[in-house]
Amino acid sequence: MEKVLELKDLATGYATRAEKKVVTDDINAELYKGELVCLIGPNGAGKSTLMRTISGTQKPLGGEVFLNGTNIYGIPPRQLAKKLSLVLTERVNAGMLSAYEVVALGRYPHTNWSGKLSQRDHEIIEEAIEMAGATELAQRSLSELSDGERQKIMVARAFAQEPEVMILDEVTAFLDLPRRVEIMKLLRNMANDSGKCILLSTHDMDLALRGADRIWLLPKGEKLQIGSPEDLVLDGSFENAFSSEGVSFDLESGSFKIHNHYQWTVSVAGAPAPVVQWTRRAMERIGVRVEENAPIKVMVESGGEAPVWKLVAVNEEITCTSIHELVLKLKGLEALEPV
Amino acid sequence: MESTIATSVTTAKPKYRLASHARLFLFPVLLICLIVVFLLELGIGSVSIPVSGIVGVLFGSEVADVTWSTIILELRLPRTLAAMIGGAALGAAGLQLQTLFKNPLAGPWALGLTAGAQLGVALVVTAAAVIGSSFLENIEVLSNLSIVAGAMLGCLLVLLIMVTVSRYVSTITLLIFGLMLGYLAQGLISVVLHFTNQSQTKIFAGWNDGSFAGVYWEHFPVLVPMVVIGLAGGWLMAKPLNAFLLGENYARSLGMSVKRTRLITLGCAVLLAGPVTAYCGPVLFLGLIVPHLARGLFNTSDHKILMPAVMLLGGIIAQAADLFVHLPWEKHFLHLNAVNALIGAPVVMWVILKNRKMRGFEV
Repeated sequence: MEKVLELKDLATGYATRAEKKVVTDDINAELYKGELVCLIGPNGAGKSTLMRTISGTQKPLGGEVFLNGTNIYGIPPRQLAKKLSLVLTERVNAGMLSAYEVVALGRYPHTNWSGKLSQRDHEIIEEAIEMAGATELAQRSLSELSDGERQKIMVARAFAQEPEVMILDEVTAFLDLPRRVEIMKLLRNMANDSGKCILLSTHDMDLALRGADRIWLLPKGEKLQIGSPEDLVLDGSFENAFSSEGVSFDLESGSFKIHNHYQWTVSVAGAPAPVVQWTRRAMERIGVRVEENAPIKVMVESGGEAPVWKLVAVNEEITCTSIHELVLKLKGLEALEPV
Repeated sequence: MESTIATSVTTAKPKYRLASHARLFLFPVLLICLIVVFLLELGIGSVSIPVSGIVGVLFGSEVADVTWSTIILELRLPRTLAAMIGGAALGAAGLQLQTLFKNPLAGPWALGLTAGAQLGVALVVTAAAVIGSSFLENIEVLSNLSIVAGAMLGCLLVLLIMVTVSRYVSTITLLIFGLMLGYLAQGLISVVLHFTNQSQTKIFAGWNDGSFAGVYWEHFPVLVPMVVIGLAGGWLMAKPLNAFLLGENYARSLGMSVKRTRLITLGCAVLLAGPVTAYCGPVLFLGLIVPHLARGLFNTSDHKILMPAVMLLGGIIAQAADLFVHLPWEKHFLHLNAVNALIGAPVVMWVILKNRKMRGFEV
């Protein structure tokens, strides 16, 4: 694999005249051609500082960042812009510029003083718009677009810049789940099909675990850990980085759970499967552990058109017609006193 | 075989039709408007001169009435050209400032630049009174230049203050700050003028009532080059200003030097607003409203289209306002800024109502 970006003994942080405040140090990492890497870590671990340092907008306190073997802090801004593009969290207000014109601004470092676009520039812009699945949006004004559509356009613009590296800082922060999945898919395509190397910092662990080729995990006050998502889950790095009081990482589902609120356990069984699955989730939500052979049983039955839930406790049996009712009845059981 | 592929690529129509390109036909329309208003300005007044007479005077051929030549060449032509140049300059300065400050109500007047220029001129006038008015009056060119220098220094000073303040305050606070700076300058002007004599105060009062009629041929050798440099700079900065629309961080990531763009653009704004204010006095509203009208007409924020658009529109509106002032009214003498306010204030109200951020819904 072709190494594009390399971080060597990098130390990030802030320097004032009086003192140096190191946020993270001893960072050694690489980005390869065609891979999508997600940078994740708890709030305050220094993700944004690291992103700014890698993109050349903030000076490192020590160490170097190499782009194809050249130290990026020595590359003139315009040359750097031809190799590295950025997408940021901030909501862009571009006046009356159309989405197409915004994507066209990606050609900025490639065009002359007047910014005149050649036929080839237009082709690249069109390709970027198609790649981002934004053909429908191209002619609309950026100010009319929703947050998700707008970020799509900003990603297309970063792609039209024809960089080798794309750095995206929390770009999905304000988006709902379907939009986040969409952007992630788009980035995967850009990385795998077009050979860009993409570094995305995100809060969305679930998406990072499912979508990233590799993960850079930045726990608070510790060294940067690198690996495939699965490796980091299995060796406990994930749990270690994020777990705090009341929250733990569930290996089986690959997500974080709020600690159980009740001492007692419940068993959930029956059919149909989706109903059982969502009943289990409801139990987790209210803080009841689900186990087989538990003293309290919930039986799901597909009673005619709508399912019914039979709650079997020590000496009573209650039939519920909705999960809401089931939850209320469970909370009412004496056996389920909070810890 | 290869050649057919090549031609099919080059003749392929662009997939997207841009709204900003759909209205380019407006340029020739505006140009015609400019010429029409120009001719009206020269022809209408207490003495009406037909188009044939105007053309005759301008091209040096025989005309029916010899006084026409004096009226046009000595009175109306310098005034009309001053309006055209002043309008174009203030419009361009307004556009540059609005983009740079990311503030739709920015403009030479709203940001206090005009007030700064006024203060500068007041200081020069006072200095002339104190040092001895004969010194400045006798050397016409020097007095000419000293007023420009005073206006530009005042502009620059206010601009530096505004740039510094804009880092710490929001859009609306900045405008109020600019307004207060304007009042402060007015107060200082009153105090400063105490130290001068009556005739100088009169000169200042005359100047302070903005008008294009106070510009004479001897002013043009200073006014024109500065405005031309400012406009050319504005044209050259169209590309970076477009990138600036995405915000500073994105602009920087595109390889733009934010510092240099800001410096050149502000320099241009001073070169445009300073000399115009020096010779025409404070001209209100034009710099603020012309960019909005241009955006509305051309339906774009692209500075490559907006720059020439604000020059044309600014020239047209300033001439039209001046024409309105100089119509052969029987009783009144209208003030240019009163006419500007009549056009400008409704436009500003419309901008405030249209802009979500201005209404205060967004922080």
